[in-house]
Amino acid sequence: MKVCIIGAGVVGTYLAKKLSKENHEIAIVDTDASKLEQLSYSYDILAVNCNALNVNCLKEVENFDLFVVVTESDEKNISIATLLKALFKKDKIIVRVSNKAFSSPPVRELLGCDTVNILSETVQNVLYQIKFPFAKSVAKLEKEGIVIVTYGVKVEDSICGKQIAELKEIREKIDFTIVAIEREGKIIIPKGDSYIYPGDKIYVAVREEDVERLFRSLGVFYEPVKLVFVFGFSKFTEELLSKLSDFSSLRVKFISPDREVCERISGEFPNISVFHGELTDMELLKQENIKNADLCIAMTEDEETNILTCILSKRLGCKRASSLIMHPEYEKLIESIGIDVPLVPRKLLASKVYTRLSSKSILEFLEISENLDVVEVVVPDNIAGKRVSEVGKELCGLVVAVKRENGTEIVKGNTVLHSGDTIICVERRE
Amino acid sequence: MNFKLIFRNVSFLLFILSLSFLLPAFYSLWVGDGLFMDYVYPIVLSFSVFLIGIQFENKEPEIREAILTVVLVWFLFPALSAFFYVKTGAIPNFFDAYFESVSGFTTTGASILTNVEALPKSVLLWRSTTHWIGGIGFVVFSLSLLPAIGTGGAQLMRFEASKAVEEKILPKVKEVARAILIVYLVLTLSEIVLLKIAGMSLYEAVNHTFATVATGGFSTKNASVGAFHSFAVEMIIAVFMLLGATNLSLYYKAFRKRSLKEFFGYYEVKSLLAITFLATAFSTLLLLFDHVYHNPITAFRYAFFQVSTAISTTGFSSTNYTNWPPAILALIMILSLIGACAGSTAGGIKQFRFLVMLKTIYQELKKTAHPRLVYRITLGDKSLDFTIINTIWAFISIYFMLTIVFGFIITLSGYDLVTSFSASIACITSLGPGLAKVGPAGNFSFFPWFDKFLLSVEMILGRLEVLTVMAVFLPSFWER
Repeated sequence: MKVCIIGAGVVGTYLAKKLSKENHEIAIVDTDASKLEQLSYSYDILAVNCNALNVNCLKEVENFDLFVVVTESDEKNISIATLLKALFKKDKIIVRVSNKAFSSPPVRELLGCDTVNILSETVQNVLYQIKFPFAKSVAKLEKEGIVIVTYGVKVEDSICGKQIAELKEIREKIDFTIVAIEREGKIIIPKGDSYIYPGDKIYVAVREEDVERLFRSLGVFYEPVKLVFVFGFSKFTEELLSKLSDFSSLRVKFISPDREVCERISGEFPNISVFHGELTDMELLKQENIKNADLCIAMTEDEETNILTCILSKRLGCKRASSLIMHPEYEKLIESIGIDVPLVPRKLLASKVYTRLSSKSILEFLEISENLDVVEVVVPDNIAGKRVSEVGKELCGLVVAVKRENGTEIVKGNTVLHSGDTIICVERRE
Repeated sequence: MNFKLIFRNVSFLLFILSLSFLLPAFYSLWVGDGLFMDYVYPIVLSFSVFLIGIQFENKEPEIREAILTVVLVWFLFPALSAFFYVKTGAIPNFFDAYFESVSGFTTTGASILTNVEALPKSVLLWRSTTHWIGGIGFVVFSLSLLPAIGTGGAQLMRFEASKAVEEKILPKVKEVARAILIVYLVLTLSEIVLLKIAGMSLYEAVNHTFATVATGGFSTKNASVGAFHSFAVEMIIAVFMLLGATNLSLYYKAFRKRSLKEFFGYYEVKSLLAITFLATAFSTLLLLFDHVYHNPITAFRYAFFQVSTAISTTGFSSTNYTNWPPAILALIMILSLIGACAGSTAGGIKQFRFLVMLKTIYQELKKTAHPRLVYRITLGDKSLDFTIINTIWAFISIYFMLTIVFGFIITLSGYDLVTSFSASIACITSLGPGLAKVGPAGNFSFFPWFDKFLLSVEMILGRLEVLTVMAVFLPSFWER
């Protein structure tokens, strides 16, 4: 497919790299010549150096089919999309917006193009940290109510050293599947005789409402999150704080070096304690008892500050730290220096855009780790009527769940697939 | 400062207001007490002044001109009414008559009359009417009746009514005034009907309704509401005092949205009801434990009535509560200082300021332990700007300062502390009766003319929310 990406920021670059590896024809438009030069030097990409708000500039990429508009501002993105739509009659346009209202169906309809927004998804990630503090990360499969929980197995856990088959008893009560085990960086798709060892990362597919019950029966004990620190202001902060102030049992402290931000936030959220001070002010953090904090979330626009703040809070005794990360490449690095949960909104966005590009049979695509993806596939006619255990790997990696008209269920070996069903499966990336 | 314009507007407002003399005038014709001409004089007087005033050019008033207009009308119209009292011979002394008029218009309900029942019935009706007009406000009353005095109505209204957060329920001021008047009329009519059903005569029902919805407190009986010895009457009046003490435009908003939640979810209504509930419960229990009453129902009946009358700053009494436990008497004074909702007919510092006060204190206490805390005060879902908070605190400070200063001045005449300070509180909050000598069984007649005049000024200060009137006394107000 011929894809034109407008805006060579983090998202644009990430997408361009990813897509060019998959043999799509890619053009990238940006005003920054040096950025483009670097990109086209190492990847097979057509770089167009001009301002996309200029009609002549858009003429140069006129013959492309699909446009992904990911410049820095909503206004610019929507203007460019309008030009493409009106002057060049393009109908496949994906626009990144950060204002929630722009991604609502009426606006989408009026603009006539697809708008994606990752505000609520990013915030949702943090909320999972609070609801399921034991999980390393939680990925929600869109609209289905099924989540994939990543959990690091500890020595004291009762599942340690057990075979998957031994968990049958629990499985009879709660539907769940261990979809993958990550051991020393390698992904294993488990079978009944696979063992679980301490230090493993297990990926468990389960209904969202069953998560707590499941982990309790697996013998995982955890303290509920009571005190949360939120640092700094970015477009995610307000959305996050409004969600946090809905939790009645949660105490939230917000710190920002910007006095005006402090005043606005304290006016908007009366039950959140707001403090004015530098994020790296040790005295302030100690004074406000960061040692009792269960979760620290660094939310500024500047990722270096975020990382530093997280390291500092962990040093001062905060149990878990979560940081907003702009560059997806940093994700691994950050986990290695002790930040428990990196929030990478741009990766979320990229994978959302990616879903809309991929071949038709895949309806949804979700990257849950470096080398593990979740895809949705429609059951083709030649497989209909077979049991899951008979299907093998001809359709996709490991079938996790099946979507039918009357809801989604987690599959067992003897579940029969029908034509028209959609299956959700986990795939190991080569 | 354009004095011609001020003269024009003041004379205009006075004329419109004087038309309200027509109600008792017609009643006087009806009963034939021969006082009809006395009602006509003030109208003729104000009309002739108005004829002079209308010669001047009409313009949009500036802020200072608007303030001065409102203040002058509030000082002058009671004088016109006092002139009437003197003319009829009901109250021969001018300062007594002025006190009685101001007390009526500011919905205070403090009286210098020792025997109310001796007055002609039409004069008593006028006395209640002063409450009714003062309750809704001179400017609102005039605006809703007439095609506005130029376009300056917005300016004038701002300095008469208190609002928690500046907001207009309708785009035009005149429409707002009409909406408020309609709400006021509906409240008035429904109470008259209810009181009539409860067994009052129409005359008594009208008089007491005027004094209730305006949260005034003048009664046609020496023993106030207690004279009727009726549980139903007391409960109706208690409830309508609370209704009158609620933001009048809120009824209109809630009605337009057809939503009770809009009404009961409003922060001032919630706090008003909460305080009323707690104070009633406390007083009822205290009355029982102190063996003042033995029947819980009786205790509740009197406690609820006195609490409602205090928080709404009405000043009725259903019984002589002088011998009640002192804690309840103190509570009555405290409740009247807190007062009811902004934009209502009641006085006091008002619920929203009280809430801001509590919230600021709470946050400042919290800040002692967490020095870097940043806070904003919110009312409902609105967060208040610091400039508004400053104004609110300035108001609260000056309000309490004036209460103390006036109380002190009265002690100079040699009265005891309870009498002096409770009189001061009762006048600034528009409660009416105070404690001791000015308590429910006493009245204000024994004060020298000087104190009566000071207390009259204090009542107007309280009604116009202090700052407006005080601003007139600043030298900078008069600078060019």
